[in-house]
Amino acid sequence: MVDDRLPAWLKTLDRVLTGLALFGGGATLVFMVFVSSFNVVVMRKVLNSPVQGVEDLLILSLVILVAFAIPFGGRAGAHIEIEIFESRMSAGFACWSMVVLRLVAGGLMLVMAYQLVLAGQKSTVFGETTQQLLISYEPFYYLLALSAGLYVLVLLSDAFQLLKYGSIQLPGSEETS
Amino acid sequence: MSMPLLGVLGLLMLMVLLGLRFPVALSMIFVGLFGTIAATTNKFYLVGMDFDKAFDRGIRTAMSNLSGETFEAASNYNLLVIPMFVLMGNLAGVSGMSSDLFNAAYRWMGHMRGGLASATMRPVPDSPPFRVPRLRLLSRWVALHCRK
Repeated sequence: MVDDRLPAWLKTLDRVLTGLALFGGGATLVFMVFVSSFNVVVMRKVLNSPVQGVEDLLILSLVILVAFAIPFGGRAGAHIEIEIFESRMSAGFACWSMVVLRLVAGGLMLVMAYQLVLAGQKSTVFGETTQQLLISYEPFYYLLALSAGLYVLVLLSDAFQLLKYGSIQLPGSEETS
Repeated sequence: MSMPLLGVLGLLMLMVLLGLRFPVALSMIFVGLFGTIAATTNKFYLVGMDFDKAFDRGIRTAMSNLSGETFEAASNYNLLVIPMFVLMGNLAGVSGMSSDLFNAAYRWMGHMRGGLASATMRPVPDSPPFRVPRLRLLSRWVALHCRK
């Protein structure tokens, strides 16, 4: 359950991220499993006629999956952090350093999102496509940019929670970090 | 500034960021971005380019890498199997297969010295694709089991 003390916008953000990861990511993963199994087992091994371009679809599916996973992973506390020095830090320093680093990270991801949009705009001009089906990378650059943008929101919400409550409430649990 | 010194400074910066609990991925992006700016600027400055122009080149190279490497990492064909491995591991956990394997191994080896650790490790090689996620699920299951 999402904590009641969280503001409505943060609960909405949690719902959006969870929905995207669960349904979008889940559907993409199911698609990947079925397509790769069907292509290898039925088409390649049984019929000796693998479908051309399946690798392209799988690679692009992976990009979609990664795009859905980045902001949700950030919100769910799945991004790896090393906490060996935490016990030696004062509570104030630990909190403020986290806030500052979250803001720095937000700035970094914002720059990344902007650069991904620029790269997406140039990708068709430079002929960036998949090798077999020639699918343009442009929408996938935009999807990654959207993902980085959502991660910026997650980082800002983390900083907000740290400033207001002193800890980060993770969605779907009573756990804090 | 020499390149080896720049590398050492980058590693130190990475350690400091990791020590401050900056997420590992973001720490590496941060150090990589500023390292690329510094290294490219340094390289062009040493061959006689104006500092401003060299710095501009550095920024452009780093920004280009920031988007290009992100897409490259997200579309790496070799990493394609990882989400499917995780899915299989979760299916093994949800279906009760992990618990059954652990129970079987615990009955074989639980009475011996270090039996709990052996029983935790034993089911892992039974099904190689499930190794990492199942080990995680198994260790969680063992933790719950021990708490009871």
